Amino acid sequence: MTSLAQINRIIMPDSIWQEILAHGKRKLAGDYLPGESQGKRAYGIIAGSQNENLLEVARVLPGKTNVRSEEPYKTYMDRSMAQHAVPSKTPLSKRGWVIDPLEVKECYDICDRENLIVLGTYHMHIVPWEGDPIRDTPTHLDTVLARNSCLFQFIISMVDITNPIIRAFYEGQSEKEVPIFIQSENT
Amino acid sequence: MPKVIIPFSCRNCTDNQHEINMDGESLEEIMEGLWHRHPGLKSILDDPAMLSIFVNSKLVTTGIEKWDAVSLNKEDEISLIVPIAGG
Repeated sequence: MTSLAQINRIIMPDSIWQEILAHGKRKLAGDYLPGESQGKRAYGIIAGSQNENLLEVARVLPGKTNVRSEEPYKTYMDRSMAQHAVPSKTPLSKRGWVIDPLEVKECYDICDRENLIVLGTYHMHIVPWEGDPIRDTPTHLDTVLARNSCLFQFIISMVDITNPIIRAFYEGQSEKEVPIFIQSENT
Repeated sequence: MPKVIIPFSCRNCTDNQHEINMDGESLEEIMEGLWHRHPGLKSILDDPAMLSIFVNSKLVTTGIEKWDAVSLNKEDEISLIVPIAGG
């Protein structure tokens, strides 16, 4: 199988895109599932299949529990934040997310059962930055955290909730963007 | 012998092997053997202290402190889970 680094096109069914959007909007509205970590952060895993240089998205697996404040992740994230995060109004200790490894394992098990591969992760950006009003590209911190993942990082810009954007970057590198084609199920 | 499931992101260090059979009676022996056989794994995992390790789908440890305390049987299946994180 070709490495995901060789991919040049991603097909995403519109229903999957709507599912990702619904996840983001629900978190923004503060409408949490039982046991779900609170906070305006939506992130998760995207799975599907690979056909030569084409990826076809088949599944979205939203993350539910954020273990960013638990050890050993807290030390790792605090250090990464201090070294690589752009300062903003939100304190560094309140920024970032780590999906509970139990959930990650469950996602991998689902992929094995359904004969899918993990294609990447997604997370949303909601706050415009000076000089970056749309926030539809990875931050330096995003790139650092995706390093050596061999996965795509899907950035969901929800800065303008009426005009959401999704873009995909191999290992969160801005220069390694691959176009996403949202496909209606009727076509 | 115990079988180690290699994370997708690390398979370029194992010649695309998804599963590797390893000799050893403790998690520490298995992991040391794995690093020795595939030295690239240790560096690509970046920080082994962040690894979560499952044995037969049960989370047994996160971090490296307890590897010597985890005994293994030859039928055990070990899954390495690399953290998924973002800013």
